[in-house]
Amino acid sequence: MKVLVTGGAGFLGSHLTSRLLSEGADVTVLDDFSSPSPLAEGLTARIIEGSVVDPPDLDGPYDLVAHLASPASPPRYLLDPVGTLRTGAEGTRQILDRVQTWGSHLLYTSTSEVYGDPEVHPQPETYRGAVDTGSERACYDESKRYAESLIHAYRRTGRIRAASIVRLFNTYGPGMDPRDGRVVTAFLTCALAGEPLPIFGDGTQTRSFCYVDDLLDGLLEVIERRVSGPINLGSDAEITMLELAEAVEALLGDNGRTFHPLPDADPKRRRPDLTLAREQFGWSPSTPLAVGLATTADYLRSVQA
Amino acid sequence: MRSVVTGGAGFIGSHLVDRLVDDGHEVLVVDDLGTGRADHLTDARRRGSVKLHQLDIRDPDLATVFGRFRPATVFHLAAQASVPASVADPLHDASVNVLGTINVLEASRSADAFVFVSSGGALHGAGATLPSKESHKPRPDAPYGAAKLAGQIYVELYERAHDLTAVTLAPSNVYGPRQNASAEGGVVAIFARSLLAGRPGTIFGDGTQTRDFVFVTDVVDAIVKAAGSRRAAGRVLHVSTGIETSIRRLHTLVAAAAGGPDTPRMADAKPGDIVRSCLDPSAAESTLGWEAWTPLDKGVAKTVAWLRP
Repeated sequence: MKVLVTGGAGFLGSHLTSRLLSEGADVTVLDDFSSPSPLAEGLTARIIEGSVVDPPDLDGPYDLVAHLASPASPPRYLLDPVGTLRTGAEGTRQILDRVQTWGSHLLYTSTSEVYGDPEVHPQPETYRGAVDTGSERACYDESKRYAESLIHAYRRTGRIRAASIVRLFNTYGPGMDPRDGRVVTAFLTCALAGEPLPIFGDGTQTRSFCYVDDLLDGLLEVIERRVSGPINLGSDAEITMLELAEAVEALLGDNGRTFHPLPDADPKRRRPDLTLAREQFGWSPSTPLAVGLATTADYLRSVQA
Repeated sequence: MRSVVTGGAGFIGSHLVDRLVDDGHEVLVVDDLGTGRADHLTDARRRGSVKLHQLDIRDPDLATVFGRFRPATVFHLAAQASVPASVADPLHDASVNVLGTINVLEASRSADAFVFVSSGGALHGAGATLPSKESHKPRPDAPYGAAKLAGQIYVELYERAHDLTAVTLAPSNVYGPRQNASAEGGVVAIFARSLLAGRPGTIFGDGTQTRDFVFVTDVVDAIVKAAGSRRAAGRVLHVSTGIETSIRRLHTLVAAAAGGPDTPRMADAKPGDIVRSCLDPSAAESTLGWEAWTPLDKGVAKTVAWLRP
């Protein structure tokens, strides 16, 4: 199987590329290397350096195009909101045009951010979301929503047929950028440095964290079983930021906490309804938080040493 | 996993058996071989565990046959599938499609999951707003549609009354290899046979009438995804593309695949033929994460390749 992974050098992309390579796929990575993450040891993919917004020759056709390329962490997308929107809009259009020409199966990694600050818990795929278009982080949310709409439009007008849209909830694991501003890496890097953990708001806002290997299992099921989606993938074990802090302190020691105001439009609760993934392929994440945090801490220690 | 497929030697049924064998199921096919053909199962029987029991679904022994096999899932596809035959003999149609369905449901009470494959196009009749949604009030134009509607009401009743996760799927015009040219949606096969023989197909009416053609393995994929789904339980879901294709355009596609002349003979419209038909698949998409993925030109090419002598 010939596969193109856009964003294949990023956190999730490098994991997906490693997994596909180890299963014998012929993988090409398109990436601008703005947030590179290492492949598993001993694996090499064909690399095309470039941006999805203005892609170089991609040497198709491919059986599968996994379109992951996008700034994905708040500090990255807040740094360049216009570029983030262009990546979702123009970048996705460029990829869709090629998918149309090649007749590929498209896998698009959307996000739980399409649900915005949700009014229903947990969020099923049918929930339409509550995004404030004027908020700071809307550049990311709306770029992903636009990309989903664009895929539907390409399907509806018969330009493409085979597309899977997955909505990923918070994912963590080895390979994350220590400076990505996500709470898991922020807590772990602080704890590793012997610094207090930064808590935003009162710490009662919740998230659900899915270990990257579990997520990969889900992604591969979606590809193999031709699930069109949109389908939620993530963990439905909802924990507060204070509980996450406790888990990190239990692992790496307690250095106290500092409290900061909540950022603009930060969702207070987020938890996937995983009914569809459970019913369609019996998937749910299985890695305990303590185990996933320990593996991630080992990785962060190795890159900072 | 043990699965029963009624009508498993038929067009859609035999493709379902192929898929279930690939997924590692043990399959019992119950088929009276009236329109089904045992040789449709030759390949599946070579590759996996497929038993064929030749039996009419109205037979009182059906419950005993199911009871011995103890299926986890029952896929009910056996039917009197011809709309004109239902008009000519509505009693026979209802006997198979209503009483037969009740007999299959009774025999399935110990199973966990049940999937009934009904008919989308035949339920809505003329004049429906397009694309038709499942919520539209059904208004069948022929006894066939009325009997299928009765069947799906029984399925929904058994879902509520018994511990059976049951769902009805209502496909639009299904096409693909092994299709009997006389059956519903058989226009692809009919055009293909003519064009492969070097003759153009015949269009009844002006060719602007439309249908929603869905490829058989996409339908099978929806059937497999619906089996045992609690989300889908008790519901009726369209299995379709949501895309209208005119019969004239279809002739062009078949002619391109078969290499025959795209110069159809035009004949008078058949009385009672629906002008436009298209089913909204969005409920199946959001409930099952399913979508029809085979583009019409690719599906037509596969059908023509199967018919090519």
